Amino acid sequence: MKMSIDLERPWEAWQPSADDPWDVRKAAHLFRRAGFGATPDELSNAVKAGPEDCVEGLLKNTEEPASYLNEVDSLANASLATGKPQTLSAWWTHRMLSTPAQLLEKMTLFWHGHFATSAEKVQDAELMFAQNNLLRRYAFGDFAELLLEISRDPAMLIYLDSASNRKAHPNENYAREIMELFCLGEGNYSEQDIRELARCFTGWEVRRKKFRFNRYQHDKGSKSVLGETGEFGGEEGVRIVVSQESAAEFLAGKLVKFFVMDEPEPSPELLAPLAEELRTNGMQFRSVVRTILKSNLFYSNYAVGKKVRSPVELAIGFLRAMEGTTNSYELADAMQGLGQGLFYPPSVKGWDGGRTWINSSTLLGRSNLIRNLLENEKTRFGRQTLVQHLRQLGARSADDMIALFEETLFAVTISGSAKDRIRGLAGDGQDEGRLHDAVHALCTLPEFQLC
Amino acid sequence: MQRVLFVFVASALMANHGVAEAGDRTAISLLPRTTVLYGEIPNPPALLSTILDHPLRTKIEALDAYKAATMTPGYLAFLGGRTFVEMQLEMKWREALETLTANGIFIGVDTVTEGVAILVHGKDAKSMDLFRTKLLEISRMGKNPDQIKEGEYRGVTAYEVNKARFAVVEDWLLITNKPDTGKAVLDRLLDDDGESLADNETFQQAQASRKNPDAAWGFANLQTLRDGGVAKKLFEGRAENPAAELLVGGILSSLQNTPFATAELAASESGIDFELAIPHKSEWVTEEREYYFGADGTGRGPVLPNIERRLFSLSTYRDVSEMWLRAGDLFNEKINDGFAEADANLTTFFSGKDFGEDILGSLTPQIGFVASSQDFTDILPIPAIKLPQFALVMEMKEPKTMTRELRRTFQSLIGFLNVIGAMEGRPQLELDMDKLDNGVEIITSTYIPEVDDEESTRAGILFNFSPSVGFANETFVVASTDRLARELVSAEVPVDRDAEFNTQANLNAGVLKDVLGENREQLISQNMLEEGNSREEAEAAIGLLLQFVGYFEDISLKLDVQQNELAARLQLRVAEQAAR
Repeated sequence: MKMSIDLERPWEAWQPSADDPWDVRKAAHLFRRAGFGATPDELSNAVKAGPEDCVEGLLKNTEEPASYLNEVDSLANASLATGKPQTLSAWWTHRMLSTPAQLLEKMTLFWHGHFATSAEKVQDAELMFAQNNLLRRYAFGDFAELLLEISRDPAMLIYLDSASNRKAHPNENYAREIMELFCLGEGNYSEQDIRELARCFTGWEVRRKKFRFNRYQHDKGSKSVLGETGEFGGEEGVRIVVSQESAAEFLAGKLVKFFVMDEPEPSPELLAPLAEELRTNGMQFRSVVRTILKSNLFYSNYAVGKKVRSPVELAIGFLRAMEGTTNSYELADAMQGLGQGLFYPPSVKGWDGGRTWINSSTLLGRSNLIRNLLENEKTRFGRQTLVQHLRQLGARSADDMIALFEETLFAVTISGSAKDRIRGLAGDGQDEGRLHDAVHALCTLPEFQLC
Repeated sequence: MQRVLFVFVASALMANHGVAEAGDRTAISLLPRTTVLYGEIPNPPALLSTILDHPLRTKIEALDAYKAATMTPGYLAFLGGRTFVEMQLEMKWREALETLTANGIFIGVDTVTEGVAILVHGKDAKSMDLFRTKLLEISRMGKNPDQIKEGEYRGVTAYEVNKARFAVVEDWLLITNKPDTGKAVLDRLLDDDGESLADNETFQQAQASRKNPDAAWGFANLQTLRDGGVAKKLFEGRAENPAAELLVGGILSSLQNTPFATAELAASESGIDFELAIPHKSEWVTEEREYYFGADGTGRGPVLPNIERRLFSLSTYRDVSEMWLRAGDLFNEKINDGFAEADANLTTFFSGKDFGEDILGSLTPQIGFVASSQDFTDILPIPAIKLPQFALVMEMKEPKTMTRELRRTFQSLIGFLNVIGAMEGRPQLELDMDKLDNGVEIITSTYIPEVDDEESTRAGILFNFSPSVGFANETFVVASTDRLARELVSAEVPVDRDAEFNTQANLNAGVLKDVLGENREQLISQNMLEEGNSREEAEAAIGLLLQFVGYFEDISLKLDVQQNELAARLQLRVAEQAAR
């Protein structure tokens, strides 16, 4: 598949024009990708602000207010007190629904998929929570520090069977994953590099839920890793890996897939400017995320409506756009049922994403999720019923409602026949039950699965 | 909905005049002899007064949640409709209701006609006539006044709306779902003869056992129900579940033979009393259920020691050893397989001593369970979720031999828990032993916190527990904390250890409020995640819950086994300050 825009300028800032203006739909695209979605009011303000200020606003607003942090910490403590990792899924769901710093949370989700660690194996809520905080703390870099911290993170070490790494039997599991999945990608290291890097990590252990360096179990001998030789420890091993040329390109590729498009696989040429920007900024991500979110490519036809909504984007996006609140436990379970359990990624590779989110089973599940959200007595929209909320938003008829949803929640336009069907279901738009049917039908349209 | 109600009442009150002396009858003389279920509220105005004039009502009405509920569109519409009816009737709704039901509300289910009859006995024929006139006018204002079908039976006009049929005779209002049931009642109203429920001997026996003539009262002819094959499972006499068997096994035996059951509900300013009773004879209890009532049917639970901040107590008589050994007669094959497996494992755990015979058999059938709220004032670490502490209080038949056996088993158990805990990365338990005066002995185990967590105030849930056992002469205590074990073995032993009842349970609402209050932050968080509430909404919801619980003193349940009667009594007491 060829790019439709000039490859020499994909990362230059997009400029609105009369033919391609900055409007509600463009703003909604930005908020869907850089966060989980936005309310009509937020979108209206974004349109007034313009794309430049809007992206800067998202990047600036990555620190949550103290009062909000107190609240989410209190909720986290309550979840941790139960000792059950499952309750953390509900906590994070709540946080995604309520955070004022959407981009921070989206980046945390990105890193959770990147450094995938599952509570299914770790079985410790405190360790999973600590890792989640680590990912949030380093959400925008620096990556070298994040990689070192994650390499010493007890949850990660337990997940990758590296809780005990002795010099007599170096554990190659983590050494392989750090190069293949976390930093360099396949083809940028050898089996010998894996064996040597594993020796660097010997003596790294987890004892009583904490990282411990056991100097007696560390292999102090000389190692040759990715072309460098020396009596390296784990810290030097991480430094060597992260300083590889291919690291920046690998990470840029993952960011593009996360923020811009599932397909096609971005070419090295496309990624080169982003990789260079990452290197220039010492593997800090704020600048490169800014470039991506402002870029021609981001607002091009190759990006808009070209990603499949993940279960989190589907459910949280729907609720955030409609100021929805609901039972976080049930919602977290439902998202897990669709393949995206928070704190429960399927493997160390994280979520494959893209088209893999959709199959006959998950399509039905997605439909049921929306229906359950609408029918759940705990679900409220702007603390009221959907009819009342839509009325407050000025949507007093079926056509108003369709237009509002199309602008706010849809990345692509809805066909006329689909609109006719929705109109028929909604009636005069004043009956809660009929409105639920109409919104459910809207959210199960193929168009809604895209973002 | 309101319109339906108006039509319902209006049509019901379309009186047919001229039937003499109908007002002198009683409901039981109007219902067929074959009535199998009967219920009555003899004095609805008094019940209304108890509820509406209770000081608690003012307190509930002052709650923000109540005020919010009264501002909903649905409630406001209801108020509008009510005011309209009041204007038409020229009296307040309460006065109207008191007049309409002045002499009682009665309900019967007849087996022959297979219908339900509701009889409402009004103040007098004149008042009912006034209702009829006014409410008919209201119904005629409705959208569909033609929905009322009219018919006649022996000169009495009857009306049908949907599937309900109504008729008014003097000061009686009859509502029924079956024409034959209605005719059976009307025949008695018009003729004042024919056999009625009042002539039914079983019913007469039940009435004779009635304790409070002012209370709401109900009767079920169980003999007829059994013969008719109703609720077969209930009358089979098997629980098929060890927990249910322990809870209601004995009652199931009695239900297979008892002729009737009665229920009585009395409300007063101080609370609500509810009783379910059945005639009972010890010979009805089969041999395998002796464990429940005792061989002569006189088994009583123990008197439990008083403890500080008591949340819950249960005192019961259950010969668990006998139940364990008779499991083959009580349960199906699957459950018995489970018993056999448990028996083998527990016998191994108790060093080859037969668990059912030697271990359970070494304890008397008098079992106590207590729970109290924990005081963490002088304790560290403090768990984030503060659970109540609880204990089993039992009595050993041979304390000399069993103390040693149980002490050793407890020590083995703690060792076993430590091995499992080490495998799962949980804190370890440290054993300790304390010998107090008078041969009282206590063996404690305490979770050892991590060095960093020693002074934590948000420790894990495990730190609610310090499993312990205590021995004080015959008394054997297994407690979730060392403090409770110590408190129980040090408590004064009552002279008469037999309580008054077979089983008695009590939940103290004041302490429950304290326990919930200590976990307020946890409950708020839970509410936010579960209900999708904001913090303010969650705080209000939990505040309301605590306030509501605080309105009550306690709730208790007693199973009273007497020579000829088996009664379960539930009592809910309103807190003194709430009743003021």
